[in-house]
Amino acid sequence: MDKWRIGIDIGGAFTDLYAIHLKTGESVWSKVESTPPNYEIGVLNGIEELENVNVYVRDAIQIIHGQTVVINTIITRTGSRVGFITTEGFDTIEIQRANRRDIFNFRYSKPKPFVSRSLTRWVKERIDVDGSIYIPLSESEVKEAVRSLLRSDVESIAIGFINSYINPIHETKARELAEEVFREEGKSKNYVTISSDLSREWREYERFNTAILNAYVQPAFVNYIEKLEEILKKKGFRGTFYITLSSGGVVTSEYAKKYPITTIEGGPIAGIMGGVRLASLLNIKNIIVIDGGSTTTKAGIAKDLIPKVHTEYWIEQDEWNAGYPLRVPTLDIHEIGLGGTSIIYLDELGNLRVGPQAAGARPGPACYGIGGNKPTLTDAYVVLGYLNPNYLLGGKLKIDSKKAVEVVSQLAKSLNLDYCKLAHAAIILANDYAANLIRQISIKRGYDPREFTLIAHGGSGPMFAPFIAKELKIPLILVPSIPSGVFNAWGMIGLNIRHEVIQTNILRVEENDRFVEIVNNVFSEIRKSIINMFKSENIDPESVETSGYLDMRYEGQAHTLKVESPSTEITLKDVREIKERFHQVHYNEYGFKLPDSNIEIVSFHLVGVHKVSPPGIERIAQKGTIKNAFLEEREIYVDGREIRTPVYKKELLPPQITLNGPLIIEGDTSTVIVPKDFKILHDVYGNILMKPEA
Amino acid sequence: MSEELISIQVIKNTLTSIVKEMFWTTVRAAKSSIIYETYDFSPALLDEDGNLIAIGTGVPNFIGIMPFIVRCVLEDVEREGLSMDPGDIFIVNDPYRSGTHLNDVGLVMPLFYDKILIATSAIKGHINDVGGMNPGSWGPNAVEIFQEGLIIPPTHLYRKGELNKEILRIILHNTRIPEYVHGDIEALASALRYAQRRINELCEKYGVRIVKKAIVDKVEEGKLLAKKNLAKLPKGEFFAEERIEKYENMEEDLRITVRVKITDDEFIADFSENPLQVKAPINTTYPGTYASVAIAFVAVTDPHVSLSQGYLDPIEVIAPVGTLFNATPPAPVSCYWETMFYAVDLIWKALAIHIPDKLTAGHFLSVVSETLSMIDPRDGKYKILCEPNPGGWGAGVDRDGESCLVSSADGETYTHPAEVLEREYPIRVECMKLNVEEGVGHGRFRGGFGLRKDYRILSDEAVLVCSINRITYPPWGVEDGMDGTCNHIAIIRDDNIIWDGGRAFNFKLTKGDVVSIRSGGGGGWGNPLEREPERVLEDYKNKLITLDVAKNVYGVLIDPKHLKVDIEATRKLREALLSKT
Repeated sequence: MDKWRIGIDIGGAFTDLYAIHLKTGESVWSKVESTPPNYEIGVLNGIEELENVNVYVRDAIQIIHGQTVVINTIITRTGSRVGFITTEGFDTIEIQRANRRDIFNFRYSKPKPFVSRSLTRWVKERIDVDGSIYIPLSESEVKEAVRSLLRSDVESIAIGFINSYINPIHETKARELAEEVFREEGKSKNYVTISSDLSREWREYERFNTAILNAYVQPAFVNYIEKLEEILKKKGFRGTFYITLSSGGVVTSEYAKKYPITTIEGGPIAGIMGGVRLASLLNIKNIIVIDGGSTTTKAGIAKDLIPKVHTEYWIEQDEWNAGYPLRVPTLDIHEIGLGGTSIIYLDELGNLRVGPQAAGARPGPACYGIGGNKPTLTDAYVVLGYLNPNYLLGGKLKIDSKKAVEVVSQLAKSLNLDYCKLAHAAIILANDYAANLIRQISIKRGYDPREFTLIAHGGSGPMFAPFIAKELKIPLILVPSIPSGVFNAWGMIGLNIRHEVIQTNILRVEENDRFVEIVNNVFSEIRKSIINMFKSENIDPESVETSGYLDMRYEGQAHTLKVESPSTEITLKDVREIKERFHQVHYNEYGFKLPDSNIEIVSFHLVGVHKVSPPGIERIAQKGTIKNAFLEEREIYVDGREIRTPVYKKELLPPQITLNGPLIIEGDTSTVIVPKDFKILHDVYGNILMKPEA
Repeated sequence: MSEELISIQVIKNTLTSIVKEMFWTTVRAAKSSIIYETYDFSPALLDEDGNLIAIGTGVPNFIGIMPFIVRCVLEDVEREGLSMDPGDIFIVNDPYRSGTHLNDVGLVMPLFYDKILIATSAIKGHINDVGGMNPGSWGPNAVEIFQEGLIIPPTHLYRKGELNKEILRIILHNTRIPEYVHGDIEALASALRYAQRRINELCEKYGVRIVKKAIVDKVEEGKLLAKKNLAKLPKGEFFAEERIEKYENMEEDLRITVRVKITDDEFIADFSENPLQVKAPINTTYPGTYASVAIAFVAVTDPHVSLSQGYLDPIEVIAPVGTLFNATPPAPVSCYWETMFYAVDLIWKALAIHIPDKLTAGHFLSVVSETLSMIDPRDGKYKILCEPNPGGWGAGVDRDGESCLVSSADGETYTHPAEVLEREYPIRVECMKLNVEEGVGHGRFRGGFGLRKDYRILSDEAVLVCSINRITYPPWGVEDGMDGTCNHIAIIRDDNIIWDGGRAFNFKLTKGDVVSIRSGGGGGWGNPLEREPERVLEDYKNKLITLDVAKNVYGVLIDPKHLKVDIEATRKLREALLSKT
């Protein structure tokens, strides 16, 4: 044992495994089809593929897993029947925040709660705003509520009380009582979630909804993880099994079973964290990471390689729908409705459009020849010669370019256009659209894309990248040496073990001893609970590094900004520093500061990290010259005419070479397009660094 | 040629993106939460004549209004001889010409490239105080506009990029919060300069000719779509009337009406039969009434349409000068929204049964906004709580109404959580629940429930101001669906209701009093006796109706022990009830 670290990433279409040898740095990967709803079978297949090349899980010290069970259980509405116990007099889950996101739609629907009113029970209790007990908890009502919910076939229970963020005593007591009833009723599993365990921030709807969704997914998640653990055990695995968190960290599977909702974006965030790691190895400072998938593209931004973690996160929210809030720490990540299989069509006015509808893996683009009959972006790229007209994925996927030409021509006819021109137009429109969205995301955060490097991975990311970079004037594109399709699995290896708590506790910033004492007390309380989390994972508290953040605002403001605290044990001197930092952050975010205004702390945020040594990347061993990598010259349509363009095989490219576009680089998992005014460097690690010609 | 088509399409998409970028530019630069949290502003791009190219929006009010802002500036350039050069930014808030109320300040920038006028950009946003008799520049007590703040006709704020310090000084000397007003005005201006930069980029890349062509295309393209969508609407004349409860100095309630005429290429809203303007701040000026028709038109045709001027082409608004819907100076207008959204509601009511795939029965309509001011004993600070409240929406032809949703006058507006209220104000939230007791409009599909929210006052004293409507005239039902229930606020002292109503001017409260906010339930759709018994059972299980209501209103007999519908007895009861009517 103790030889390998293995990352396992489950996506909608594929399950990827990536193994890195601890000592030699050797890496091996496998890619198999995902097997919903029994995802563990796909993992097993992937493990067996690794065994074929003599990588065994019994030799692994760590397995790090990013999964989609949580998000899929929610999207497909296949979670458990949940009961909800809350403070008498509050219909929080029905009222929500009452916003009408689709403002001109007079038949707007609010998001349907995951718990009906008939499975909600009111109990007498009330914590006052200062944390004191205003009405004591009626223990008999809690027990009766649990009993009646179990009689109504509820499998999982969430508990949320008003003001529990400031004092969770009633919630913890209610959980004890609920678990007692579960035992009395002979239940084998105690599925009870309390809101204050997941979030200590104010705003009851967001916190309660987080608890309810945790309760909703918990049985399915536990069931899946237990099956997977069984498989790993049979294969002789004796190391530690980690699950990736939305925050960019990992926790042990035991811990994740209690709070599965914290892992909801655990897959996609691995790509951003992978981008951060790769960029730091290459001394790149600011990055935009795009993960171009088959139906959508995920985009993340990390200025100074520090991706922002926040707790304002919604699922199923879009331009027209309010969605469901989750108050769990999540990396800043965006989804753009554009992927390799986005459909090209004409709208009501005859305007050419691309996406957000996509053909996906089934029926797929027309050129896959498995039933797709609508033109997609992939078809357009095939038509123009950018993608190989015979196969993709190094030969694993057959391509029928005639079908692509056929469907694109049909659409072109209705516009009286040459089909190449139509394909070209679709690609321009799609990439322009993606560039506009990335520009909007940057502007919201006050970033200038010209100061960033674009890291492109995923099946379609490297295909989109040069077009987006050109439009946004991004000076450098990095296509990682790690094969595009397994970049997330690579990114998981080396994630730190991470726990964090955000505690709302409003406090005016004052330069006196009392303020210093309160701050240190709150941080110390939070630190205790974080240390307990690590202890429950058998991690030595001595190895945990903590850093403190303060969510602050000017008195009277509604929103807060996160500021790093100089220390988690501050002195009087630090108070001025904290104020200065807040003014500066406010200026950076909003373009002004109010030096005379009082400042308040709204929440204390403490992050504990047990650091794992991240694997590096290996230099590539490929010898020989560029000639070895040359595949063919292909006619490619550029700006209204066909240009003969060289095509190279990615895996055979030697290191340290520079090439000028136009050229195409075909890899086993994706294709890189280098337009005519770009040049590339294939570096010693096998990364492709692409720059527009000055 | 085709290359050009592609470029035009790309430019059109980019113009739509630019207004979104302008939106976030403003949010980031603004100083007041009404801009950066409540999104009470709209940026837009318009052509050189003030026709809408694209608009970004957080609340519904401003669509349809933006062209008025640009046109009144262009008019004064023409008539009054104002100069117009690259780098100019004009400011205007005259509500009779640029809509809404004095708080909504409009800025307009002509966008030049190489000295050629390419387009205009405009933005209108809520500035928290522009002077007048009430802090915040609005209140229920004004009888003429001069009590509501500073009136600004189209004026240079920037001339060739240089700040016009004189006008800025006048504005800042007429507000209670000059530093905020200054910051917010600059934030609005920053969005216009951003638009100039992006238009420059487009012109450099594609050339002026193509950009102008794309603009014409974008402005015009809505015409075709509007015509197509208009073809799907029922044709004919439709009428509706409503009543607004009278204000203190009025003799009687106001009867308001609309006549909607839809033809193959027109959507006409005729407000001819309406009261003269009143000496209360609820008058709406013509641009606001036009906007209300535009809102209704978009809602009944395509709420997700990428809006440009051509799309509004079929709209015609008839509103006689000097009436409630086309007020003239010096009518006060600071609470214009209550009337403006009655105009939307009238059109909605006239058309609901004819366009059931887009419209519901009547909703609670009023913003149900209360203002509570008090001194917080915890820190000795004077605090003002002012918030919109959610209420019940009407049933649809195929579904129940939504419960507790903000009114049609609000949009992406978030209501306050109890935990935030208690921490920020000296009140205890004793309940925040569906207003089940006062019910909804029952029907084959029933309305949604309103809100019941009780605040106990914890400060020594407090003052309540409110100005809400639908306090005696409930939301309307459709097709034998019952009317909904009314909005009101009750004040409870020592367990007794000591006041109950909708309009309170400086009502004095003392410690321990309870302010109970109760918004109405939406109207029903269809006869309640036709409601599926299973839905009635579900409502009973969800504790939304009693067994009595199930029996007497819906004719459904429920066995409460086994939670089942007695199907046979229900059939008989319904037959009997139906024969009675």
